[in-house]
Amino acid sequence: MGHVYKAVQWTPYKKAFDVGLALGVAAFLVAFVAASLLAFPADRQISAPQLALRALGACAFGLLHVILLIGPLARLFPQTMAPYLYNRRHLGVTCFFLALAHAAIALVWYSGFSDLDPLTAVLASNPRYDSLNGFPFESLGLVALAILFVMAATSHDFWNAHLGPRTWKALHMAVYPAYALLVAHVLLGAVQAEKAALYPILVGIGAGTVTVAHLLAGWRQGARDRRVRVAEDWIAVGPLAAIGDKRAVIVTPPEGEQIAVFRDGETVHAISNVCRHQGGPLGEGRIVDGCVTCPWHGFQYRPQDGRSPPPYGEQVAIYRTRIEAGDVFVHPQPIFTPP
Amino acid sequence: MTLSQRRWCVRLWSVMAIALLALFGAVLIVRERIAEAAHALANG
Repeated sequence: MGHVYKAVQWTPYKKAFDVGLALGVAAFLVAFVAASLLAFPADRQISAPQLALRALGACAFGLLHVILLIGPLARLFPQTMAPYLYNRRHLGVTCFFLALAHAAIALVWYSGFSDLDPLTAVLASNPRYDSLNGFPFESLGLVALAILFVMAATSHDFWNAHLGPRTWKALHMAVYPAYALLVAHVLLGAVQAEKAALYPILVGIGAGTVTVAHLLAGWRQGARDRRVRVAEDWIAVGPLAAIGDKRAVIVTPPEGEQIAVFRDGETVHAISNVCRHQGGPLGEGRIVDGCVTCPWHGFQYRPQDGRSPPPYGEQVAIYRTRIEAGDVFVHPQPIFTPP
Repeated sequence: MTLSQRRWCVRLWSVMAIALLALFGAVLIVRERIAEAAHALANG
């Protein structure tokens, strides 16, 4: 489903999503400021810029947790969570701008009056890289911000199409090390400065949830891969009745990419599990109007020949299938592999 | 996301889980020691 590139192709769903996102961010910032003003007595209040940079930093960090949880939760609970994948990039760009505002206020507030320029002052003023409680945590945040910038700048489909989905996805997997840097930034910064136990507890719950969700989703996928049975070059998929109508079972051949085996009434079709758009898992989608529809962004392919319906030109690999005594088999060699 | 990228993800998160756990432990120990030192200073 290649298309003409516009800055944003607005749909009513996208508009509603972005309005909800803006309201959510505004509500968080207001709640954070209100909670801080209420929690601390008047003689311990921090300045307005400090409060703003903490609110923005906390919002960006919290939003990053939401972004990172959508992927594994969509694998663990596809029916409920898969729709949130659709506009995940809007969350990522918002997260970058919140982090940028946080960094800008921090630079001006803490280094704006230095003899050096603020960025040099932040990077050069504290060389205690061998200390845990005095670590220059700002540098970790700056590296993470640079990664978030690259991802926000290349989030548009224009870059996905020009880099190719494999390279684009590899580039955007840099969000994981960026997240690790930000956890370290918070642990070595705010958590060291504030004595209340609430801060390490919240960071621990957040990092633990994100990490466990990713590992669970990965292990579940790995367990599914190991269950594949190959007999005389054909992979046993299982009983036809076990595949939901218009749905698929994903199988992992001994070599090559995963295969999505779709049931359409009493027939089965097998296509590559990897969408040509962003590498989305086609087998987690369903057949809509006769076409396999990617759960990530709705790209469609005819299950018979793997081609997108006209006027689109995408195509995915297709595989031979057979049904014997109610059991479905797929041959791991593709009949056709697109360039 | 290709199969190899998905497997790299699992490896990366496994390493990150260990690293974050280690960092978390170290930070909590340091916080505890600083609190003890501050308490000792306050009590002469």
